[in-house]
Amino acid sequence: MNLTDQEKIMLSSVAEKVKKYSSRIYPELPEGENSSFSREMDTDFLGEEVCKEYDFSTPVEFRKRMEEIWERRGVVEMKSFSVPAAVALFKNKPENGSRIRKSDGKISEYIYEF
Amino acid sequence: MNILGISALYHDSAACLIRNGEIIAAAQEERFSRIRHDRNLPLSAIEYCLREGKIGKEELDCIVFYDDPFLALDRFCANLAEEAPENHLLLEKSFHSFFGDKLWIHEQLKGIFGEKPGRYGKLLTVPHHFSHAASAFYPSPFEEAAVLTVDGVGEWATTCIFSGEKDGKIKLLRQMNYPHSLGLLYSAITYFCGFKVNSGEYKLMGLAPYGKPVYKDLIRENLVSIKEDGSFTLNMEYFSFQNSTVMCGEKMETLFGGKCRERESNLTQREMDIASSIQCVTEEILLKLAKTAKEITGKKNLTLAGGVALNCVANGKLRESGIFDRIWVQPASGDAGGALGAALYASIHKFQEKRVWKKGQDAQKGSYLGPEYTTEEIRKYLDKEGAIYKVMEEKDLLQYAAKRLAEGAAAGLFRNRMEFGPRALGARSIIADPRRKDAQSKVNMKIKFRESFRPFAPAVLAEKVQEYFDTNGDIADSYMLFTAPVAEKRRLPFDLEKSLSDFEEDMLKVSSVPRSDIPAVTHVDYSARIQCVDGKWNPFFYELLKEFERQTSCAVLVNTSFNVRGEPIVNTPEDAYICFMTTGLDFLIMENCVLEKSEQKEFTGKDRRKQYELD
Ligand SMILES: [Fe+2]
Repeated sequence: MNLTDQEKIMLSSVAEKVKKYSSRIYPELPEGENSSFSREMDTDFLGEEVCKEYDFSTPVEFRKRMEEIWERRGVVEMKSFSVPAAVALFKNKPENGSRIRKSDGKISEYIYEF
Repeated sequence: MNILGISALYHDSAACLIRNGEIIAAAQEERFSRIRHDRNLPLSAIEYCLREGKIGKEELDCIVFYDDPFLALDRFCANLAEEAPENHLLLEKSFHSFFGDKLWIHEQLKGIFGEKPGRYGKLLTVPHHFSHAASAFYPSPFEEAAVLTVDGVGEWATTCIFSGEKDGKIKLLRQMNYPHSLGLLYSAITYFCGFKVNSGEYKLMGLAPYGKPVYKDLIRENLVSIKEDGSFTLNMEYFSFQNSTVMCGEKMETLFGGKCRERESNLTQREMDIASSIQCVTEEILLKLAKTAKEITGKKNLTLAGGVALNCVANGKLRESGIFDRIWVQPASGDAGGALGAALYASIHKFQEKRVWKKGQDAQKGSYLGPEYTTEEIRKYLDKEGAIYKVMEEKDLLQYAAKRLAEGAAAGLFRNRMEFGPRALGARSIIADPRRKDAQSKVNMKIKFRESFRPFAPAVLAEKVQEYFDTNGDIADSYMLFTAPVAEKRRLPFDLEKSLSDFEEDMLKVSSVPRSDIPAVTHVDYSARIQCVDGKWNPFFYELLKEFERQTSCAVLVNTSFNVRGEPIVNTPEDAYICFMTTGLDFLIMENCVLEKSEQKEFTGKDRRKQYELD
């Protein structure tokens, strides 16, 4: 088992826990009959200023940004993702000198890439 | 300020340079790498944008990414939890793309720009739908407008309504979130009908007029529940895109009473009817969303972006509805256009630059935002290849080209800066005489090597549009993003149902029955995806239409993209020459050079057709 596999297992078990304890993992739909627009929008997730600086160099900085979003979304249970996500992230950090990850560039024919 | 916008790592990577709010250059990476929908970091497109802007990396003020990776990761984690414990496929599929790629966008960019990306020093991100919205509103000809963005999914958002204000600001007013997505619904049906997700949606739209919307109620009752305000929820029991390697499965097959269509197999009445039905549902949702947008913004005009805004049939219906006075659609409405929107959004919202806006004009520059080549550069290449060509004065070239087209020859047209967005608008186009009955099948089968049911678009002299189509023509019609009916007086009697039964073994042969005096551009429902050409940004194309009209009394040409099936549109003289030499094109115009196929020696270079997977 390589390190990345371990992280996948960790993420998976956190996901199970979160599912158990959180009633609203996805942004809420309104309760009313007349509309399915969400109560929550990008400006709720990110604050009024949605154009943000993107930068982190340590796991702590990364976790801070993610936890901010989870607090804003009111899904504090999701904070348990922050450690395994940070570990997975830093284990897969592109090396200096080989920073640009080139794939075959192709997108899947069967599923929307997201 | 010089601001570079980047979209990458999902699909349709692209780069765009804006300077003091003006669009200087924009191009999609696939055109350079020759990988369709290339998702890699757009290194070549970035390099091109800087070259076009005549600046070095160090002169960039800021770099902006079109998506918020943190918010996207939030959605991924939530998706993992939602699907737990059966989330292994999702994890397998997306783990690396998040943790090894997207989230490291800032580190990867250091590989190009060094430790400080631009003078600002930090990479900026703009959320996906804000990028789409900015790409719709800022280049539009409207001082203020409602903005509707609809796609598969960004981070969370799938559909948004914004208000674009006089002061240049964009305000988010409504949002629908993943997994409730019109783009994903349309893609799932595209997949079910045996077309590729992310590229076959356009074919499904082209197929719709052959069918009847007999599954419309079935779709509305089972797959999507639509509210009066245009918002909706998907019934997730039918979709598997959340945690699978396919878009939908058995349950969808039961609903439509049969298996998914196999890729490349014969199309049947069922697919045509499904295509027609999903088109109806799409239009219903968009019309309702537009009404809501009108109500809550109070604006007279509407702008659109996001992949769903490339549905020119729905755009035509929106216009016809009269909900808004005018509508403008971003020509690069897919994710490539996010690069443009992200840069514009940061320019105005972050750096308080003024929106570049002139009354009565749009700021998209005809969408001719890519590379161009001089006649000298082209000659150098052609000499190296030993190609036989003539160099003509423009006036002679126009006369010659119009004459050859009128004789029935099909031409590759390579002039001007390459288009930004999926449609070819006369800079990288294949053109032909639309009056000829055989033009559609000739270009489809001998040149593009693709199915014959897909209609071609007409390029028409802007001042003559009403003679051919039931529409007034608008700046927004410069981009082939709206359909309009062929004028009554040009139509020929045509009974679709009878024709379909005549050709029962291969229903698509129906397309060979002429429906008007410009048959190659008239769809089976008499609609056409028009491009009005006014000469402002591509004078040669305008003059060519005029000369063709002088010689033939027809002010319309067939205009389709210069590529073979599955190939990105040609970008360089080399791409154009190879495509010309390995297809049934009769002649090729590259700036002032003209090549006749019959005069060329045998082509011994590499036939690239094999390298492209069918789309
Ligand atoms: Fe998008």
